[in-house]
Amino acid sequence: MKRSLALLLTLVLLCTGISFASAQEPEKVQVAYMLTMNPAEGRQEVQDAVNELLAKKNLGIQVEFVCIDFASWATQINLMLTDGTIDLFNACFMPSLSVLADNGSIAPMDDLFNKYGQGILSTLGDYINCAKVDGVLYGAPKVNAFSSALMFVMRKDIADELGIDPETITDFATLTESLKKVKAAYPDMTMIANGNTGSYMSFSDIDFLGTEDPLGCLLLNNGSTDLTVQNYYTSDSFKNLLTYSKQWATEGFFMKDPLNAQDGSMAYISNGQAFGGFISYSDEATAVSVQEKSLGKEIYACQITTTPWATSNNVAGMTWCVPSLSTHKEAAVKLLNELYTDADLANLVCNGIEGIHYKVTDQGNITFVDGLDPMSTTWPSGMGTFWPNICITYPWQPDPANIYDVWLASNDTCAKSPALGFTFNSADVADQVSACATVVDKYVSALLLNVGDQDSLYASFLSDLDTAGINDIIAAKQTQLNAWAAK
Amino acid sequence: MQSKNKSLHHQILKHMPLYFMMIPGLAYMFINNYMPLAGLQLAFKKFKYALGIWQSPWSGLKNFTYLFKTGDAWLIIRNTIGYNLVFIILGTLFAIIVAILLNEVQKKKAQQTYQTVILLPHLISYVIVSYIVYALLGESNGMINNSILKPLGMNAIPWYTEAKYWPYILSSIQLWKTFGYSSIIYFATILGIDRSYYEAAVVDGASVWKQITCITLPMLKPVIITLTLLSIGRIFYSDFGLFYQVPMNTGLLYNVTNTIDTYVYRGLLETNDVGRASAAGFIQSVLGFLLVLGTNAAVRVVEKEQALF
Repeated sequence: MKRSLALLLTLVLLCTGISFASAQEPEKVQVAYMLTMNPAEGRQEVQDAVNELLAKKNLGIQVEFVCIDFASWATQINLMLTDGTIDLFNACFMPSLSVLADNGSIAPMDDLFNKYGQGILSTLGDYINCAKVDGVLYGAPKVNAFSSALMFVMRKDIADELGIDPETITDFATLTESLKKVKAAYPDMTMIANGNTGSYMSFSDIDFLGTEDPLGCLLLNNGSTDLTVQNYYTSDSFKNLLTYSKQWATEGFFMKDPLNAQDGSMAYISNGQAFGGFISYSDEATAVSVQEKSLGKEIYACQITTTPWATSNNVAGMTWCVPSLSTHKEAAVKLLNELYTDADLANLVCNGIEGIHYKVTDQGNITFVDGLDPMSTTWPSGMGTFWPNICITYPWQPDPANIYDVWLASNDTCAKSPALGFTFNSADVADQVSACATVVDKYVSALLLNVGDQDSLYASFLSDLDTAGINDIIAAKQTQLNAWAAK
Repeated sequence: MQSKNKSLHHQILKHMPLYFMMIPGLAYMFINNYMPLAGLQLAFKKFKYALGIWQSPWSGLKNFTYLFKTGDAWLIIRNTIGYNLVFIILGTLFAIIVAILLNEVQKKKAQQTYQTVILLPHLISYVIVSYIVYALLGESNGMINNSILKPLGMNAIPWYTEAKYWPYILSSIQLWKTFGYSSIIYFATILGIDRSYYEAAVVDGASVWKQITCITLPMLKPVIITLTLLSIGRIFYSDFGLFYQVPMNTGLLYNVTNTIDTYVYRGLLETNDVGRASAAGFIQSVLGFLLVLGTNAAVRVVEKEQALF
């Protein structure tokens, strides 16, 4: 009896001793990091540098990078959400925020951000509302140029050779005229590249209201505050697109076997098979700067739609979230706050270590340390946009030092959807959403590439959408939107 | 009574090493086949990550309704079962014929070569098969259009937009890919048939054809029944690679390529809904199980000793 009592006492002492010791230990926050082309072999080095910086700030937190390959990102993250092995992650290439919130995989953030995330709130301003579902905050969108307009990017060498002035291309009509010229000179070349499964543009001038397909959307017009949810596929805007796509198909602008494409559309410009393709960016200069780096070809970007719009979809596409099962939620939010506000920390995760991975130039931007290039560097140089706040870091050459100021300014001045900050919760109409998703898969690419008989396909597309319950989705969106607007 | 118990005890002790060898297999079975049975409840729950499988709230049949939401529900079920019936009938027929032919090949070397060659397609992944098919059927570079139809003065066929060809294309591919593997099972059974039957038949003057119909086929019957019953159990499943990769997920072909598996994949791609995915799996396995019970009962009525159980 005495002996067991003594044993118990020692145990208790031991336990308190351990917990006493661990109170001094910094809390370790597991942050998921995406690996793409570059395997990030310097991860330990960067992690140590980050932890050194955090130790100086005396926040009691430490970071551990959990590196996950791009190809298995969604699957791995999904698994980790079931057992709480990560504490902070970027919910990109994942189901939408409303789905993650509804299935309880991410934690509500209102209280935590109020306590530990003031820097996040002040950095994002009103844009933080785009990460709200049913009025509850679920994360922080990464800082970006949030608005987006449809651009046509095209090869500069060919455009110059044929005397095509990119300034004159401002809409589908002028684009079509210019492409005809190029097609005449290069009959074997694809004019408009398309990506996997045949899609070649994202729909613009509409607010998707938080679903992946525009199943019920707002048609955006300058100055309009109309909150009527409409079926995009019956709108004049979509019909107009159908007319143009028919013309583009007859002119031979599309690829051969477009539905069998296996690459992203931009890859076909890069490998010389295509003259151009559609892509969405906030402004022409950003499109050129980002795409020239990845394509390895000089390009022009021509804005096709008149206004870059900020919508909840554009803002919340990459949102940093904390899993519900994380046991270090407070520490994770503290860290996130630092990532939004501390330029040294942001530079470390976005660009690596100064002197080892990058050096600052006279123009105020950065370039690789001598002898390194995007593949040989040990910390990926192009992944800055993955992290919460790239806008407080050095831009890479050849971007001007003030490029991120331009982004931030565009966020203040850009046109905003009247539903900015609203995200649809699809839980009640989940059946209809998945049924409509398969209908869209079945028809939209074929329609927009004019494969088969467009008129009869379009008619059966609309009737199939009806059967799949698109009107239920539109009605549900309208109800939620009205309730949101009334607040 | 006492002695009986003792002998049982004795028996167990005697065969201890064998029982011991059974443990890994049983553990494997238990972990892989029985423990996941608890997950079947997910089909009737609204899965919440924060609560886990056991604590998530029940949701009745709500997870099942999406399967019947489109007008295509009937089409999808028809495709799944239809293709599987064709595969079972043609596949079995083809495999048996090939096995018998293999058996008639006299040269050992040649027999081994054929056996290897027909097994090769089974080892190719469907992703690669899809590119082989594309190399044959593609519109701009495909072999059939450019090297066969055009030189013959015929119009090129846009294979990937014409649904009517795909039931034949898919069936041929499935046959080509699986016949080698399934014929080996039949071939092995044929090799196991006692040679003296054939010798006696030859003495009685039976032709080769008579030997096949009166000896080989009756001897194969139990294996045919077992394999067919097993494939009937999976009649609500479809090979995702065959129906998704090979037609390259082309929308215009959905009417003849959409099966339960591809429909579930496309419908849940955006939402990762665990409950709904389990609901589809639940229906597939339960209906398959009932069909196996039914077929087995039918077999038992006709020929009692041939039934599985």
